[in-house]
Amino acid sequence: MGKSISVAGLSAWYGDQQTLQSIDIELKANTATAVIGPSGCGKSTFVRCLNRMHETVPGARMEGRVRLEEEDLYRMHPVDVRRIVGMVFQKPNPFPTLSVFDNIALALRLSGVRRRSELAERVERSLRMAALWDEVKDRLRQPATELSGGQQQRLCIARALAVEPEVLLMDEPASALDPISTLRIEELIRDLKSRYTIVIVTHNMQQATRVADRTAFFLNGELIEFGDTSQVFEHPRDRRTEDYVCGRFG
Amino acid sequence: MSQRKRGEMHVMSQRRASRWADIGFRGVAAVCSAMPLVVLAAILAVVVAGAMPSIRYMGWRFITDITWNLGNLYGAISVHGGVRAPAGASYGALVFLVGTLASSAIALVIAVPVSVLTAAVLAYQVRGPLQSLLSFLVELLAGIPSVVFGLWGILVLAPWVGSQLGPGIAHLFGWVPFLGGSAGTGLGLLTSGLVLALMITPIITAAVRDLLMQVPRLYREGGIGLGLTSWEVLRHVCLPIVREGLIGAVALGWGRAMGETMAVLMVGGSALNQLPQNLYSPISTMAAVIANQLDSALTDASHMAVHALAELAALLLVLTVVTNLVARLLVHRVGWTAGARGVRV
Amino acid sequence: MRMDIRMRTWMGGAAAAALLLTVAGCGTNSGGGNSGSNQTASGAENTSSSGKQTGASGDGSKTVKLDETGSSLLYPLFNGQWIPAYQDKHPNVQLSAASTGSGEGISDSMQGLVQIGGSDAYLSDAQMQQGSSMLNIPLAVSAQQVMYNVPEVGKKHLHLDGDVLAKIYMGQITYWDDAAIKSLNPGINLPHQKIVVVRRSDSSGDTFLFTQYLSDNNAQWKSKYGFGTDVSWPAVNGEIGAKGNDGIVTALEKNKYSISYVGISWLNQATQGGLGYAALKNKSGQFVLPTASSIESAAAAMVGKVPDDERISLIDAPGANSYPIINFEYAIVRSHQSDAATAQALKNFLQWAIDPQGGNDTKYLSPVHFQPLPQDLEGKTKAQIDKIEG
Repeated sequence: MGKSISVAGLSAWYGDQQTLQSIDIELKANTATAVIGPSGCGKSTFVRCLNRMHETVPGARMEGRVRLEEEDLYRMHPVDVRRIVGMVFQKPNPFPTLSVFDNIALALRLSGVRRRSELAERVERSLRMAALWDEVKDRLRQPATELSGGQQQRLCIARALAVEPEVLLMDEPASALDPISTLRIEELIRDLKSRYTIVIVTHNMQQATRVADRTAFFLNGELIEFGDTSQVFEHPRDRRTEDYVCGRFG
Repeated sequence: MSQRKRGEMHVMSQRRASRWADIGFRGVAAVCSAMPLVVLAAILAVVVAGAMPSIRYMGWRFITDITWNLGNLYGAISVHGGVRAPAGASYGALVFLVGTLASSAIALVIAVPVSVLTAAVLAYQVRGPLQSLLSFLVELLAGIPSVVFGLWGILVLAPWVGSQLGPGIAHLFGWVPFLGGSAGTGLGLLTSGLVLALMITPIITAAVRDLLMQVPRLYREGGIGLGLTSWEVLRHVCLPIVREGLIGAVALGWGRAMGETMAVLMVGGSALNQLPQNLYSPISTMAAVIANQLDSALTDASHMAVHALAELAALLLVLTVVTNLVARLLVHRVGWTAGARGVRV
Repeated sequence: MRMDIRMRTWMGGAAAAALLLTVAGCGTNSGGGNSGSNQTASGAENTSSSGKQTGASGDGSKTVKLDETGSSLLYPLFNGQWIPAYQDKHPNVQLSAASTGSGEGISDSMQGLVQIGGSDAYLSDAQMQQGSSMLNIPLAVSAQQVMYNVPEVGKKHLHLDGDVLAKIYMGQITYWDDAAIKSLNPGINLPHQKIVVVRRSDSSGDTFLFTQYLSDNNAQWKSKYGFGTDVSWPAVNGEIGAKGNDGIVTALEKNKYSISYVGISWLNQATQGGLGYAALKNKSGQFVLPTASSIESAAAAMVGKVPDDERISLIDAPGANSYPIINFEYAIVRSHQSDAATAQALKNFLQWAIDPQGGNDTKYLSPVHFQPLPQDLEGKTKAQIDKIEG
C-alpha cells in the first residue's frame, strides 16, 4: 500500500545555483500527482529530492525535510530510501548488459532473494504489473536492449516495482516514446495508483489531466499552485498557472 | 580586369594546393596507420631471425628446461648437429618464464582491484579541483622511472617484506601451499609482485577511470534508483558495460608487468637454475635476464648466447601478444554467455 | 641515457645476430673453422669502408678520433684521469670513453666500431681465432676482496680460502660456524647462522675473477661451473643475485650473515658501511689482505709467466706476500686499424698509458684503486703495441 509524503521547506542547489526555493507540499497516499511547469522550473529536482537521487550528483545539496508518513527520509540510509521510493527515468535505461529477466532479478538477488522459484515468481509478477509479461514471456533470456523503446520503459517500471516500493517517482516517463507506447504507460499509471503513491513529472498537460488526481505547478523553483487536477487546469487560482496551462508560455 | 583574373587564378591555385595537401595528408595518414603493424612485424622478424640458431640448438627444451648456462666461454666450441655453441651451453628458460608469469600474476591480483576502486572514486565520487589533483597524482605516479621503483624496492620494501610481511604471511597462511616455508631475504617473488603492482596500478587506474567516465549517467542512476549501493552499481552495472575496455586495460598492465626490466632486476633476487619454492623465493624474469646477460653473451665467440637471448626476447614478445589475444577472446566468450545466461550474483 | 645504451646494445646484438645468420646460411656445408674466416672477411670489409670515410692521410697534425667502450671498472680511469691528462698534451687527439660493459667493448673493438675495448678479462681462444688478429694489452692491475656482514665478527679479518668459498657458493657449507670455517679462524666467535650467498646477477669482470679463484682451488667447482663473466651459478637456498658492485654492497649491508665479492675500488665505501673483508689464502698458504704491496708483489711474481700475447690469469700468484685475486685490466684492440693516422695515434696513446711516467703514474691510478703494471712487463707490452698498423 502506498504512503503519503510530506515536504517542508525543501530547497535545493546545484553548486551555487538554487533550483528549488523552500517547497512545502503534501502528497496523499495512493494518488497520482502530476508535477508540471516549464523547462528548468525545478520539477525534476523536486522529485529527485524525494528519493535522495539529487545528492548523488557531485556538488548538489539540499535543505528541508521530506517525510514518508512519520519517517524522515533524510535520517534514513539513502539506499533504504530508494528501495521504498522507486524511480522511472526520462529515457528507458534497462541495464544494457543484462537479459530481460536479470534486469528485474538483479536487485532482488542483491537484496537476498536466492531461491530460483521465488525469483521467477517475482519477476513474472512485476512484469504482469507493468503489463509486459505477455509480450516478453518467451524472450526473458534475451538482452533487454532488444526490446522496443516502449517495452524497455515498461521493463524499467517492472524493475522498479519488483523491489516493492511504497512510492513510484516518474520523471517524464513517456517523453521519449511514441504515442501508442505513451498511452500504454498512462494506462499503467492509472492502474498502479491504487497500490502506490505516484508522482509523475510531465511536460504534456493532456497527460497530466489523463493520469493525475492532483497537479502541482512549478515556476522558477517555486511551487506556484497545487490542487485537484481539474481545479488547476479549469480554475487556476494563480495568473501564472493560467498563463501556463493556456499555453501562453512554456 | 587583369587584376581580377589574377585574383581568380590565385584562388584556384590555392584550391589546387589544398587538394594536393589533402592527398598528402591521406598518404601520411595511411603510412602512419600502417606503422604499428609494420613495426611489430619488423621487430618480430628480427628477433625470430636472431633466435633461429638457438631454436635449432635447444628445441622445446628452451621452455621446459631449467638449466641456464652460457657454457664455458673460455673453453672449446663444440658443434652440435651443425650448430656451434660453447661446451656445456644449455639455454633452459623455464625459470625465467615462470618468474615472469608468477610476478606479473601477483602484480595483477593486487593492482586490478585497487585500480578499479581508485578509478571508481576518481570517476564518480570526487569532482572539481580534488578530482584534477588526484588524477594528476595518478598520472605522476605512472611517470616515475622504473629504476626509482627498483631503488625504493631494494632499500625500503625488500627489508620490510623480508622481516615483517613475508614472515607474517608465512605464519598466518603457512598451511596454504606456496605460502609457507622460509620467508627469505625479501628479494624475490613477493617483493617483485608488489613493486610491479605499484608500477602498473596508475596505468590501469587511468585507463579504467576514462572508461568509467564514459558510462552514461542514466545507466548508473538506474542502479542507484533501485537502491543499489555504490559498489553494487559499479560491480553490476558499470563494469559490465566497460568490460571489453577493462580487459584491454588489464592486458595493458599485464604486458607492462611482464616486460618491466629494471625494477624486477633489482628486487627479484636473480634466481638461476631453480624454480621458486614459495612466495618468497628469488626469481628472474625474461627481460631482466636479457639485460643482465647480454654483455657476457657478446663475448661468446660462437654467438649462440646472443641467439639464446634473442629467443628469450621472442618468447617474451609472443607471450605478450598471446596474453592480449587470450584476454580479448575471453571478453567475447563472456560477452556471449552474459547475453545467454546472465551474470551470476 | 642508460636506456639509450641498452637499446644500442640490443640493436647491435640483433644486427650482429642477423649478420651471422646470413653468413651461416651461405655456407651450410662449411665447418666451424670456415665460418670464422667468413667473419674475418666481413670484418675487413667494415674496416676498409671506415677507412674511406676518415681518409687515410697519415698526417700527424690532423685531428684523430680514438673511442673506447667497455668495462665500467675502467671507465673512471679513462674518463676521469687519462682523457683530461692526455688531451692536455695532445690536443689533436680526440678521445672518448663510454661505460658499456666489457662484453660490448670487446664486441665493438672486434667489429672496428671503436679503437679500444676496455675489458676486465682477456679474450678466449675461440675469440682470438674468430676475429682478425686481436691484441690484449694490459693497462693496469686490479684486485677484488671478499666481504661479509657478520655482526659478531664485525670488521675483524676472517681467514678464508678458495676451497671454502667454493663450498659456500655450492651450498655445501651453509652455516658460519661450519667446522671448515672454524678451523681457518681459531679463537674467533662464529655464530650459528645461515650464510646468505650474494653474487652478481649481471655480466661482470668481478665474477670472472672470483670464479677463477674458485676454479683454481676446488676441482668440483672447476668441472661443474668453471669461470667467466657469467657462470651458471649453483642453486643455493636463500641466495641473492645483485646488479653491479653497488647492488652487491647494498645487499650485503641489508642482509646480516651475507657474503660476497666486491671490486677493490669499492673497498673504502663498503668498510664505511660496516662490512668486513677477508684475508685470503694464497699459494704459499699465507692469509693476505688486499693492499698496494700485496697486489704489486703478486703482479711482480707473475711477470715471468706472462706469454707474449699477455693473456693470462693472475690468480694465485706465488710468493708469501702475494694477494691471490688480482688481474690485468685490458685494452682489447685490433692490430689492423682503419688508417695509418689512427694506428699511430692509438700506439702513441697506449705507449703513454703503460708508461710509469705517463698513464701508469700512481697519481692517475690511485684515485680508482688500480696498481701500476709491473716494470718488467714493459718489453712484452711494447712489442704488442708495435704490432698495431694502419
